[in-house]
Amino acid sequence: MIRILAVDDDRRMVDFVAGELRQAGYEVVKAHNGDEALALLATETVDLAVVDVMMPGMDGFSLTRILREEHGVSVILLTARHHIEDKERGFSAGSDDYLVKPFEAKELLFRVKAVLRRYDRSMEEPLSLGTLHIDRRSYEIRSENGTMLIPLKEFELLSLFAANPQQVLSRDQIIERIWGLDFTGDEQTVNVHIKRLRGRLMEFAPDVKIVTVRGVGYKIEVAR
Amino acid sequence: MSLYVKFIWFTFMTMLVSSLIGFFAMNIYYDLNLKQDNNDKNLAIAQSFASFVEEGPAERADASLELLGESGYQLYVTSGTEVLRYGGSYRNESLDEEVISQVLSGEEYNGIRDFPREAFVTGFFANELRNTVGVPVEIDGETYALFLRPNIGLLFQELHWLFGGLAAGIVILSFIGMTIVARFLITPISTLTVAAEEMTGESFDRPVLIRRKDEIGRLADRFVAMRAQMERSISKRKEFVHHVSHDIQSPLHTIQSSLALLEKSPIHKQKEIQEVIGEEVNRISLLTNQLLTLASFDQEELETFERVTVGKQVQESVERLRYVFEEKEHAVTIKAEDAVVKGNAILLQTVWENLLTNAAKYSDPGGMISVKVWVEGADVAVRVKDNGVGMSETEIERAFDRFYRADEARAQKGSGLGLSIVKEIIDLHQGEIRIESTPNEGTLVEVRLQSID
Repeated sequence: MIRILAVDDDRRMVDFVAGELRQAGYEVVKAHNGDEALALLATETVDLAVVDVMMPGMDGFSLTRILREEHGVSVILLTARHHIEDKERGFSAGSDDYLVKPFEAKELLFRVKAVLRRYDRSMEEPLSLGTLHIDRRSYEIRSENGTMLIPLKEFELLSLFAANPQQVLSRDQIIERIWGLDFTGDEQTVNVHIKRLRGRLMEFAPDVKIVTVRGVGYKIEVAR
Repeated sequence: MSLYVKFIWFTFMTMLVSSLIGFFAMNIYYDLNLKQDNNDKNLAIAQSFASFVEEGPAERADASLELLGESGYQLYVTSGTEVLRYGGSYRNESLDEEVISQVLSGEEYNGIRDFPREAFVTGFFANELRNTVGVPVEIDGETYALFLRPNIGLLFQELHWLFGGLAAGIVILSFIGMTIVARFLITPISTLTVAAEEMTGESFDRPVLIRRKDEIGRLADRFVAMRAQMERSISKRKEFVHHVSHDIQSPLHTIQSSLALLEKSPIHKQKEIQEVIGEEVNRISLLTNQLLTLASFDQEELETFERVTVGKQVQESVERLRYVFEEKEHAVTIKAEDAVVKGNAILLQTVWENLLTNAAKYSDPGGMISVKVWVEGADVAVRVKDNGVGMSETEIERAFDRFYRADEARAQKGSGLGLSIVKEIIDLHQGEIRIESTPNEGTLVEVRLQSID
């Protein structure tokens, strides 16, 4: 199970963060200042820390640096709006991402998921296909038309095709690889995602196409 | 004290003070310039009269003196022991014995010239024996001292009335005149006062009929203009408060009824109801956030204009809002040049976030949003384009009005404040914003700001 450390001197904030993360299925440990957080780390290991910038005593930047350098923990910083420079300092201290207060639970969960996934995939090389570059760390694709941020499921789908450029993938294979075995939707779901992805590629990297192989499934093609 | 009383009091004081100043000035002038002439003139009269009496027969001397007394002079004739008075007596007859004996011994007495200057006594009017001229006169072989001065009371009796009447006339007419002037000034002021008093009760209809070209006329014009402006802003404020209350009230109603429903609902329904409540809470939260942004327009934030790298900022906004796009499975293309403008970073960030959330909000799931930042001549252009539900002509026209929402069915999603905030921020930066849209095809919003590179 993934363990997340939440650090903020504002108890309500810690409780909110911890509550949301627990509900999303993570294990959470709470701390109310930098020293408390470091003391906790002496006995426990965590995968990710959500740290507030403004804390009495050790501030969030110093804590981030220690977490990163001595414990190898990814950090998401919580910054106050109107303090844009916090973000720069945060990145130079080694934070992976930041969240501007006030934020919604949805945003928190998205960031946490993204950072964890980035960490998972840090070993994966970016993929290239025609004019299309797929950055599997940042979940972005690039072409001469700029950068495109695409929804996670579509990204996974595209990555799957790109990683197996010669292969025809059946619907069942796709469902299994992308949605997993506990998939509850119908075949239509795959159709919808394929259709959307086609539309996006047509505008963004017209040389890359997903073609239907009748009766078998789909494969990716690059126009010469 | 009312202005009328002040005017009358002021007039009175003016007259009093100017009379006093005039009196003192005249007194000094008499003392410095007129006294000598007056003395010499009267001395000449006294001398010619003395010689007339001396040359005439002795028995006629008394009658001559009598005549002179009746013709307007006050005479005081003394031999040292006996005193004769003609033409009335002096109010104050004190005089040094020495003076009398000097005159008796043949010297002239220049009392008018030598009369001392006193603050409240004008030599010209002082009815005193000291204030006379004196010459010796010989009557029937005996020497007398003859002192005389004009009998002011007799000579100027009618003049007193004339001057008195004139003074009284001036005073009375001044008061009447001042009252009229005061009225002329006070009437419009009273009109303005009444109108201003009614304004505190939010009544703006009292006519202000003051057509004048002077300062009061200008004041009245300014007042009327100000009142109209205030009326507009009050009605705008009322409308605003009405909208805000309505927009807070309606989600609260939904929350109330959802809570009531929650108790009676089966478990599987409860999740759904909780989501509804969550959405409504978000709506209120969004609204209050935006109200705070609007309120911040009046504060110091605006003053701090700095270099803002728009391209980077837009890119960051897209990153920040990624969860919003993810939620509706939109894809976002971004192509941003490094464009720099002078502006307020926080406010501009609000603009980009507003435009991006709008694009996400008003597109069906799986939409395509494209964001472009580029430099064109002296402009930095930012374009956010979606393939969403679009807007009609009338919707575009009213898009920047506060609390306007395209249609009530979609009203649930926004506060109706977003674009009006955007517009205000862009105006503040002297930029331009335009919307191009076709219903069911999508919307394009383009912002142009002045580049500083």
